[in-house]
Amino acid sequence: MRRRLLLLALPFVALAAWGLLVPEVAASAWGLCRKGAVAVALGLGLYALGARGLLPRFLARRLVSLLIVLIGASTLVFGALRLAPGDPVDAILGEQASAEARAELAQALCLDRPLLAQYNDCFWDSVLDGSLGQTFDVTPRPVIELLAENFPSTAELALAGMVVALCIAFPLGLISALRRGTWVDHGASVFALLGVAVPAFWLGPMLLLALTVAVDWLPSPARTDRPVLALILPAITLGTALAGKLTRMIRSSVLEVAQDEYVVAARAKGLSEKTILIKHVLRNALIPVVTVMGIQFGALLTGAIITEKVFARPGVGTLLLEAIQQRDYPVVQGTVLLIATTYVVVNLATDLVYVLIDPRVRLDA
Amino acid sequence: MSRLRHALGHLPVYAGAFAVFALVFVALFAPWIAPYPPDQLNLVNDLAPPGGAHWLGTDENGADVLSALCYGARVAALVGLGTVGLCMVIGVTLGAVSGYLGGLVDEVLMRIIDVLMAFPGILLAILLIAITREPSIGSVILALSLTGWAGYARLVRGQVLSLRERPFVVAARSMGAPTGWIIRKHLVPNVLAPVIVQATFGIASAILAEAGLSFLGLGPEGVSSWGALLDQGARYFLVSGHLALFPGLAILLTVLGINLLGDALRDRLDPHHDRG
Repeated sequence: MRRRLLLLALPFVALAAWGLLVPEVAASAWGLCRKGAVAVALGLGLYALGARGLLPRFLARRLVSLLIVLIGASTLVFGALRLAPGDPVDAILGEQASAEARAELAQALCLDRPLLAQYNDCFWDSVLDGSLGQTFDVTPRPVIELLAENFPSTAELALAGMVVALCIAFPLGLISALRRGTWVDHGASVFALLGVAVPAFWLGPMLLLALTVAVDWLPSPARTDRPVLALILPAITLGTALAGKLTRMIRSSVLEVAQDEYVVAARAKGLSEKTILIKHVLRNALIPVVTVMGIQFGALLTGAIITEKVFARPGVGTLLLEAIQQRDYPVVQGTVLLIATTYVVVNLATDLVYVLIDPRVRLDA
Repeated sequence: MSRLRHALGHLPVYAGAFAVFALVFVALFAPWIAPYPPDQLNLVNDLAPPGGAHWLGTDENGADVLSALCYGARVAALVGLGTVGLCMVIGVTLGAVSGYLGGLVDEVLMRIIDVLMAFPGILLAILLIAITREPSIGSVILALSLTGWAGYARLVRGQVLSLRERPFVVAARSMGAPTGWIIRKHLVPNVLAPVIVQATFGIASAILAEAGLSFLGLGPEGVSSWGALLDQGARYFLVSGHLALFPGLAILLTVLGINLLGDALRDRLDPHHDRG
């Protein structure tokens, strides 16, 4: 415990020293110290609530680690944009731009200030006031507005991909475990291997070619008048890789649980196979599957970037790629932050679901 | 019959080994295997279908698709092996040191690893490549490794934690062996098996990630990456499907082969893993 407190104090000591040594960043160092103190207080408060039993202890722990990961991930995004080689001002304006234009841009981007000031005054202040900075247009808008416009479409795609993956993987994994060694099982294995290996940006165009151009079964995904049908192809494209992973996972998980003693006991007790399967095997076999689904949701969100490009679908991914092309750094930063945050929060939610379906986890927390 | 069954059971391993061998072979000898130089254009014969002088057809500039794919194998092999090599070196070293020393070092490293593993790796790579001017193969490797090493470090740390108290390590320590020597001679060799399994799958996912980046227009510049070929091909896919078909097949078969090999290695090297 003492070691952990020492660890907590370390950044503050470093900040204080930085502020004292470089007077021009003193204000920023102080601001950062105050924000850090709030975060530490929040974390310690959560711990205390957990220790007093006012909040389930596992929940308190997970929330604290969520806090750490969110701060770390945001810092990573900030650092990546700042520490990368090359001057963004050059990249945007080209090297022949006038000194005046360069200075103006540097100021707008907050690049003319010391690193610590950029981190506190520009980055965290814009994150905490909820705007995520201003876009780089002729008429600047808060980045959050753009994200709010585009996120629903991406979330819809990711969820649809998840549904497709489950609809394929659940029956396939279950049947191949129950009919182990038959042609169904082998077929499922081949599908799983192919599904994991096939690049979404290849599957998409090929499906489009086969199902829309050659036989006109599905409307083109570009059609906005039939949104549900137009979602089918992108969802299959996005969900196939996850379907492959989940099929393998569900198969081996069901096989493993089916050998457990309580299943043998249930069978000896004379329970029907259906009851054993639903109440004993599936309930336990699905626990690791839920975890994988949660972790993979992040992969779906990033995979959505590629799928959106394949089908020219609007969404966060398209926004990100356009922003990258226009060198609109605040939008790039905001988009990455949004995806990373969603990813981390979904992981937390997975952990909580995990506890709901498996009471054993609560004991070790 | 049982012999046939036995041979069939090993088929995936051979197929996997063959795919990996083919990738490395084509990558090494691309200039001799490719029927045409990759930059030889022939605007008269553009978008030719597969067959005749151009086995896999030509692209919109009349360049030979097969040759481009051969050179693309170099990019795939370099990125796959380079990324995994770098991740392994960093991950194994930091994981072993962290697990063996414990204490504050371990605490700090574990928090950093928590953050890196919680962060979608390809997203950070997109971010890094997007702000790199003229990204090279090296930049792609670096961008993918930045989060990639964390998984290896966590794996190695867990193993080292359990090895640390085993008699042979305790004995070495009590005889006064230096920490670095114990880590190098006793700990690292004992954790390599699961690391090699993870590295095999890592090569496949690095190749897929690079192809994905190139497809998004964020790949290494000036080389014919399979992902970039697919991106260009996808623009013509209504007129000449082969342009997108073959690079995709190359990626699919390579990744499939490496994964098959990884499965086989896991069954061999990692006795704890459930074989299903």
